[in-house]
Amino acid sequence: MLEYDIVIVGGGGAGLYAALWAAENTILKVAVMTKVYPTRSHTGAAEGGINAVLTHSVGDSPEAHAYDTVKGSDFLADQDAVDIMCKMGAAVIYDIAHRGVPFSRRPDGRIAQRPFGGASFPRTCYAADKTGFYILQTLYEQCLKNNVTFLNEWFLLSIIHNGERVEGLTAWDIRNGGVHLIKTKAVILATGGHGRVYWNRTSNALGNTGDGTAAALRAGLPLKDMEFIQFHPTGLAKTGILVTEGARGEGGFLRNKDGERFMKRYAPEKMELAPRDIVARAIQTEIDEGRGCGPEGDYVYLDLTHLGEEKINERLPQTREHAILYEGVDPVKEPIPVAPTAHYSMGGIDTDKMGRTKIKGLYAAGECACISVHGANRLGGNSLLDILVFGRLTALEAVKYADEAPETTPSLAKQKDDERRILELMENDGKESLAELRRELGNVMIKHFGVFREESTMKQGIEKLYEIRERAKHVKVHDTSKRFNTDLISVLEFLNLVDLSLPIAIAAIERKESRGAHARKDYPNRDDKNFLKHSIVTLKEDGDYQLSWKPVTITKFPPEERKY
Amino acid sequence: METVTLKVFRFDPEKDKIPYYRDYEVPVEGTLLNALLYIKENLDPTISFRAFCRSEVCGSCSVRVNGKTKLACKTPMKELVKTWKGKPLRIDPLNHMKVIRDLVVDIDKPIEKMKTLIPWLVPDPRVVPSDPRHESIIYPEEMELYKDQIHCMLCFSCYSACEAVEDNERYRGPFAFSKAYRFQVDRRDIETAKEKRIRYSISGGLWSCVQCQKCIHVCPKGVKPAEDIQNLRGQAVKKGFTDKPGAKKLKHYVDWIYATGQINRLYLPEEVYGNKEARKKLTEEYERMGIEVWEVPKPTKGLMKFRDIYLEILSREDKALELDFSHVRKIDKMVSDIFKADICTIVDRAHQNNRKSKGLIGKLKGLLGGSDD
Amino acid sequence: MIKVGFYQGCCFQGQDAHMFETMKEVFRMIDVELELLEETTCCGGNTIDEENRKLSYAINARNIALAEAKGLDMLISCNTCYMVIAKAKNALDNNKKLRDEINELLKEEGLEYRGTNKIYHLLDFFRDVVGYDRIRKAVKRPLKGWKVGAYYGCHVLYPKHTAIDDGDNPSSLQEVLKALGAEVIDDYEAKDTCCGYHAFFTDKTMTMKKLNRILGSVKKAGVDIVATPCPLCFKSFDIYQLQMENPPMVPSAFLPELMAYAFGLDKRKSGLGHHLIEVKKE
Repeated sequence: MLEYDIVIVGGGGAGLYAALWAAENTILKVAVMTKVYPTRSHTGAAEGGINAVLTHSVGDSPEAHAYDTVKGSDFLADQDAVDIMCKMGAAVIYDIAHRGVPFSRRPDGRIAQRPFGGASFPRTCYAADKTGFYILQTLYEQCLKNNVTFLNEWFLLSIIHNGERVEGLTAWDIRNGGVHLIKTKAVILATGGHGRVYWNRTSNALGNTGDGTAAALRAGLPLKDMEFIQFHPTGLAKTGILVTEGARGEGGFLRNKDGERFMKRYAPEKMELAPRDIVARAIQTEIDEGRGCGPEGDYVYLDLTHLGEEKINERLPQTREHAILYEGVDPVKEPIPVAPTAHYSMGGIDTDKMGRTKIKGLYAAGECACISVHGANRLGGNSLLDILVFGRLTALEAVKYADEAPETTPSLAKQKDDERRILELMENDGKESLAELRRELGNVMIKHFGVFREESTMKQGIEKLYEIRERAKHVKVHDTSKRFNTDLISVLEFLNLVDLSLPIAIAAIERKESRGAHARKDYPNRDDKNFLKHSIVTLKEDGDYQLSWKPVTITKFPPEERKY
Repeated sequence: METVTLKVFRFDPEKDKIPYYRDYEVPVEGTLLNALLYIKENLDPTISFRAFCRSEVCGSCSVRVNGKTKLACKTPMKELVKTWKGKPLRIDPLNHMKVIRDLVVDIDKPIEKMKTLIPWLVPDPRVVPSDPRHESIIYPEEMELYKDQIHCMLCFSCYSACEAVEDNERYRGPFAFSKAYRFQVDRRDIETAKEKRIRYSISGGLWSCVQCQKCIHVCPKGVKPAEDIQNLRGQAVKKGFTDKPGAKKLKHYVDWIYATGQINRLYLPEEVYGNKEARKKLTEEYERMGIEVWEVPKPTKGLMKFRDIYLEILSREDKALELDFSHVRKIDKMVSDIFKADICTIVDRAHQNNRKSKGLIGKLKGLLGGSDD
Repeated sequence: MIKVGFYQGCCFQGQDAHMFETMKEVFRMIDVELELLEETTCCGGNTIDEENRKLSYAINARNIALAEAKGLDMLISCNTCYMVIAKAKNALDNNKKLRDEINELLKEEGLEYRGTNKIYHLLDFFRDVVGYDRIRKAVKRPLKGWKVGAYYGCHVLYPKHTAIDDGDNPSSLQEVLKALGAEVIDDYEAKDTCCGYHAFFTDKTMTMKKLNRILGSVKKAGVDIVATPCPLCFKSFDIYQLQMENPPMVPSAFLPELMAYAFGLDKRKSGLGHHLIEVKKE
């Protein structure tokens, strides 16, 4: 049995920053367990930037940042947590800059900041258009410097606790095979989002399958605000891979099958530059009302042809490359097929403002957590801040806790359970195909729990999800090798997605209002009287889900209409 | 739908005695990663490869196609079919690393190698404030110095393609040198760390690089490790690590090109390895074949102006070595002894009758049975 | 008659001056006049860059400017010279500040880098300017029955932005050899291995290992001779091979030598007679 004091699950921005702060502040045994090598984590795909009020941000203040964040969240964020995050912005930015993150600089040598959607000041720090990538690489370098222990390519199976305290984990060693029991006093879950529940309609990486969130759910922990999934308006039609907002910023047009610039009907002034959620809904409306393009009518066109080759090459080289590579379309000559794509999971493991869960010693940080700083809708530039602030805070919390926590030893039962579970996966009848059922899950989610939601379609959707959950029992792992069995991992990931799809669906049906990213056709308005509260979903012993509600923490900013 | 056959390397050490190839017919559509995913979803779930972001930022999916390293998510199938003109497409795991299974290799070794070069910032307290509330000022121009290197995503394509890794076990790998160099030119990094990186680079095979440029060629992110290795060599020499053959070779180039506009291959063995025999032997050998050997390159018109430019650039720029003028004077003397005049006169003469000063090739003319001038 | 400025580098003077005479003859036979760019200097051999990269750009800006002043395109036969000069051209063409700074210095000599001429290596010059047909027509003594191993060397194929052929699956060398009537062998195992020339004075062991791999591999493939368009690879094969512990004594040729021989020049005149490792094939 492996033994640590703190195990951080996930090697993205939150996990690595937690590891770094833990490593530098304790002599406890800390390990980072991650299913991919750390630098491959999806933090690396974050382009835009990271919000923070710096010492030279004239006129701006952490309060203003907090207000923008709360307003962006459609007032569902917990304001005490937002307050913590925004106040720590500068400290976190300077810390990672001092560690080597190559932030873009102003001519006077200070960190440059640019305006971003929903922000009242230009407070988004950036490192060219690869901010997350540089942060991830830098944090990894610093972890190497600090000799952080990595369990690379280990897959989390279960969280073990005794109802009060966390005792350990079970995990599958991907390289060599085998279920391992890991004893640890504290666990920080930093496993990222679950956008893959929409399978091919997401900008997320292949592995953003909410493994930590699903394990937490199975361990009896509540998930919060799962109905809130942010859709980015422009994902490539075939793959969901993101086309940056910059493409519209540089003057790209959105057109429907009649060639009409339809944004004039939705946001006549801002047109294509309206906020993300509005554009996403506009595109979805065009598609839903039969004005989509292509044989299936399931996308619209993002037209850049009028910008000319030179401008496209200079300003949007990545967009052009991706369109050619992944869509087979050269934006210089043809418009790019795009449709909304699931981008960010606002919901996740329910924690308090310090990332603590209801189990002592168990913490969550980053996209897998719902702390909640994003509420119903996340502002661009806040996710990188979130992962760093709460990665660091949970690390310090975990250090404090593990220092004093009593020794407990996890029982072998969970290991045996997981071993049996995996054996069963390899031995079932295999009536269902993983690829097909996974695609079906994605289709159900996008169709019934996509940009727009409605009671009747969601009800049908839920039935289908239950059906998929049943059928998933017949998905077989065909590869029986222990060594680097990616078939097994794919099935485990898929089962996690199935586990997480229902909480999303259940909370979405019950939230009978429109708020932030949750847009209901049958309840088009926000309803603070009845729904200014967090949804909570837990998994019961009998395998069914239970929904409850939890109040939102409101401190400085009373709810008001979200208008831009 | 157009299809093509991929011959994919398969090996599960748990089950297979030796590796084998299995054929899969895949659509000629999208990228190579799409094709691999197509196999896994539709043809054979037991095939193992790494993939994550699918949009060229994570560096997981590097493989080899007919021996050539490719990031699968960045390689269009159409392009492969076009390049290989109907030849079968053999998909192999990356080179130089142990195969864990199928297309998955063990990348721990190159990471460990990279670690020996201190690929992280060691802040200089005089530049980086210890108070985290204060910012360290970095000017945009400074960042230009490492703008390419920071794109490395640890995909190990260059490590797979590297000629030096192939033949030197200790060699750290192209990416590792680029990662190291990135901090060598960061003003925030402390001098003692920079010194160490150079020493560790040298013991890590800095002079083993053959400059084949394959690392630059295969890098999916535009990093230029071969050039960073040159930069590191320059820094090494500048820091006084001049005992290695490579440093002496550089000295030869710097001095001779300044002095004559050319290097002198006859003297390289002597100046680098102290091997005086080589020149004699080679001279004899050539003379045996009836080829006249020039002891020194013939200075040409423009040499004096060329020297001006050369010096001017070196006076402006950071350089590895100082020009060794006593060496240059020695070369000058060799030139004047052979051409029976001082260097300026020779250059002048070349200037006046450019095309007539070819006495030395006379023999060759005979050899070739007359030439057209 | 096509006229082109020929950049000699270090490989066509001194003891190698005869090679230029051969080159001239070969090119005359395919209607190309080589005008020697006499005032050019060494390209720096991709080594001077270690001293200072701008120095490399400056001396090659000068080299290119000398051809431009004559209104000639530039033909370079050495892979390394080609790459170094093409890289310099690339840097100069894409960086006005650098170009202006260097032009300021070139002014003294009455030169200016304008970026107006083309830079060719042998292989793309044959493919794009001369055409394989013209080579085929000049052949008087086809290399019938010669099993020739095609060896490109690195610097014409990598990196991408200066490469003259597809680095993954090149064909321009095979085409020339085929035009000469040779039987081309291009699928031997070590065809992509670097010749190790540039490591000879930095890490000699490396060079020897490379040579061992390449020459062992061509021998196994049963070639009579290895042909390369690069004079440095050729030196590696012909001179450094002798420094191996057990030299396999594989003969090699610089591509124009084979052309000269196929065009009817005798062995000595073609250069094939001057090799340290004797070319026995007739």
